[in-house]
Amino acid sequence: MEQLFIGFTSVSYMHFIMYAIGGILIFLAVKFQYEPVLLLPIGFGIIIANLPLSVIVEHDGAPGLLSTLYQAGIANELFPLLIFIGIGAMIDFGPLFKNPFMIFFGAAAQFGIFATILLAVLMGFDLKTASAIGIIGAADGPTAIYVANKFAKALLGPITVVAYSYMSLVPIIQPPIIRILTTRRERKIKMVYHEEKAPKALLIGFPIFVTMIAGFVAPISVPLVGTLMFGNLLRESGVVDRLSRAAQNELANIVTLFLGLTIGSTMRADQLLDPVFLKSTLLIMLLGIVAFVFDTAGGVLFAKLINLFLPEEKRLNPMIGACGISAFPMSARVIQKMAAEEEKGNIILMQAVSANVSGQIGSIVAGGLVLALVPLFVK
Amino acid sequence: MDDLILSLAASGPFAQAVAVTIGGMTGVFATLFIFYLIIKAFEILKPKKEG
Repeated sequence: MEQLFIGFTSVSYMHFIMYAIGGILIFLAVKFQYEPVLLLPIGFGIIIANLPLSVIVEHDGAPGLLSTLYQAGIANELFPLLIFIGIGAMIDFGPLFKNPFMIFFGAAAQFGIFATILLAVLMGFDLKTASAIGIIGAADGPTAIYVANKFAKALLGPITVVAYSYMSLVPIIQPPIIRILTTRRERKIKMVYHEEKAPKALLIGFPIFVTMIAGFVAPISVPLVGTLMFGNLLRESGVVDRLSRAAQNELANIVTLFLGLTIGSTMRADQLLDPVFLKSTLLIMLLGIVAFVFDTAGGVLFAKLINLFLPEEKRLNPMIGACGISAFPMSARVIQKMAAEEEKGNIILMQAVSANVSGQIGSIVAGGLVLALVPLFVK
Repeated sequence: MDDLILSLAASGPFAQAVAVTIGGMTGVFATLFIFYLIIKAFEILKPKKEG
């Protein structure tokens, strides 16, 4: 008889807390469309993995669907890398080639990663865990998953959820930081845009050279950079349109679906019993927002620094510095909206898109460098 | 260089985090500067339009 009601007797209040967390993520995805492609499967993954006996994870000692997917795609970092092929096929580096200087904003806005690592270490995290948390500042989900899986497997779930949640909150996080750091006059600066077509040789050569250079500078970054650039080469070559479309649609969609569900399943009710895990999760939520704030500040302040050396008529609108994060194209849209609000008809969208595309390169380079540097100090 | 890394490895986590920060930011800027040079090189090598 007891066996009949095992579904009711094997759960505790903590399971219901997990159902509530999963429900909140689904609610945010459906109601506010906060990164629904990831948060919806993660939310459902949390619920389904915490149902009585967690049969979908493991049953009678045999792996279930979700643990099979975890071993097949998360434990070996396959899923984030496959998603990078899809993302690469979606990226158009054209705007960056027209404004190559904007590439430096993709570097400046990675400051949030490193500022957060410093803060996390000060809060008592070890260097590897601090680096996994700091990488939330890459504003790049697959990179966050990749690094977290290498350095802090136990915190993969919270880091992923926080990374994707804050990425969707870019329109709320960035504007106040930009307003604090810039004057109204600076936000009104107009920038000239030169429409010029990038040569085909550059479009094709760029992903190849970037991959090779990344391989020499930080060999460990090749899976990240190489998959992204391979996707981009499919797009720009112009001869494998079918593969490019498959990478952008079928591959990216199917892997995202499995990735979200599987990451959700790593968040289990029994973890709530662990006070260290709970404390870490709360600190990750706090540090995640710090990372985005420092990213934004790094980019804006870098633009203001450059302006010190430029003549009045060539000054940059410092708001575009904030677009150096990887959240594409959301950040560029936010900045264009702010520019138009400050002065009607001020169009800085293309410069913002150039900086935003640079952020996508900067984030994977930063991720690769973190992966290369941290093991030098901590085995 | 090896001595520096060994001494940092033996020091506290904050010193290591500072080293990762300096190395990381320098590395990102340096790598993206190389990418910038690649784009510029293609720009220079691009055949000029006549007239």
